[in-house]
Amino acid sequence: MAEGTGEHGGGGMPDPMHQFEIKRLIELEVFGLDASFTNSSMFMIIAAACVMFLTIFGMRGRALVPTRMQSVAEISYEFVANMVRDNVGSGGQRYFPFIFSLFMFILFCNMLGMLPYSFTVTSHIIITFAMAAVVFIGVTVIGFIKHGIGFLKFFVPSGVPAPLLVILVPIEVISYFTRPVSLSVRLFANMMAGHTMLKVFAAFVVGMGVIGGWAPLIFMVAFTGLEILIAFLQAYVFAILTCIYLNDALHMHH
Amino acid sequence: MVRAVSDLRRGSGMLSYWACAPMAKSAKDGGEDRKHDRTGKGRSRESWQDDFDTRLDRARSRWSPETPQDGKARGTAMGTAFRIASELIAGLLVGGFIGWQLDKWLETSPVFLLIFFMLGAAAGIWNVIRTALQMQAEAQKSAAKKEPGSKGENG
Repeated sequence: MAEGTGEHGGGGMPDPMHQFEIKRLIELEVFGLDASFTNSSMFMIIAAACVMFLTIFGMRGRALVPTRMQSVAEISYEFVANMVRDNVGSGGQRYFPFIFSLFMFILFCNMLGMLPYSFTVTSHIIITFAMAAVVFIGVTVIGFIKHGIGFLKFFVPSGVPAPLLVILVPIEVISYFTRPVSLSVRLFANMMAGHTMLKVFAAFVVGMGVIGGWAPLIFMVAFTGLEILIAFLQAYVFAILTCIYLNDALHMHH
Repeated sequence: MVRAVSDLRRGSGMLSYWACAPMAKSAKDGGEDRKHDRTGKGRSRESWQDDFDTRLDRARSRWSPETPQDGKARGTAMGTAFRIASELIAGLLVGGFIGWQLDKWLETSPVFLLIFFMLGAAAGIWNVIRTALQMQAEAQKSAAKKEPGSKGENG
């Protein structure tokens, strides 16, 4: 969110898009590709470190009556475990580690973005698209491994007369390919729009001064609460859709 | 006592920690009581287990209030709203992109763009309908699950 970083754009107003700027912290070039360590990479590492700290350090005690940190780790485990069990069904537990990592990583990226002066990793579409592409390709490969060439039947709706299939099969194929796009656009658009809006309203607070600034400030407080809800919700939606896609690939019921 | 707790964990699958922590305590108290009972009246292990299950159910209903479920439902409603909107947009985007690339490749602009834009729109709407139907089915299922539960509580 990084509201109030204070960098000014052209006309005295802070630039609301400045917070999304990628800064190279360590310049690095690998085989002619720019592989610099950026602020984005740094926050990804921080998010992963937070997840590891929570799950490894939090569960260190293994107490029957958990400490606060252990409870948080247990709640998140059970939350994802229930989600996988309810949405993937049989054979889903094998994919639990992946979905748990995905959910926790996105959740921590979103939540870390809510801290002032931080950087929101998931507000860049290339990051969300990369994650969605991993899910999409992985699920497709799992589908083909499970069902062989029969997985292509997924694109042929049952009980439809042959002439209609000419139209319906392309529609089904396109709707299959919309999955990574909708998955990534949803997360990225939510995070970016929310943070831009917060920044714009923060500029109003400064611009309207001590007398008029209270109204946008109150709005901002409420909106920050909503943003935290959205940060959680989008991680949840990403994980649950991964579960649903996995279920489609494993069981193929339409 | 320890066995009772592990039975409870295994038998009932995933127990929320807040149900588990007080249960562990009450299992301990109850377990000691029962031990006296058993030596005194010679109760079988079965009835012990039975009794424990009813007490577990009671404790569970006490420890899982209605409000979090409502909050979760509202949260997921917002989630599905976002889901549906993005599904529609993604259909158009993907259809348009495929058409555009085909046109660029075959140099037939704008034939494929038009065709695939339409197909993409259809795919987007089809996805929305499918999501809505799925949501409806889930809502009906959870409503059906909720009915007997609330009846049982009242009766």
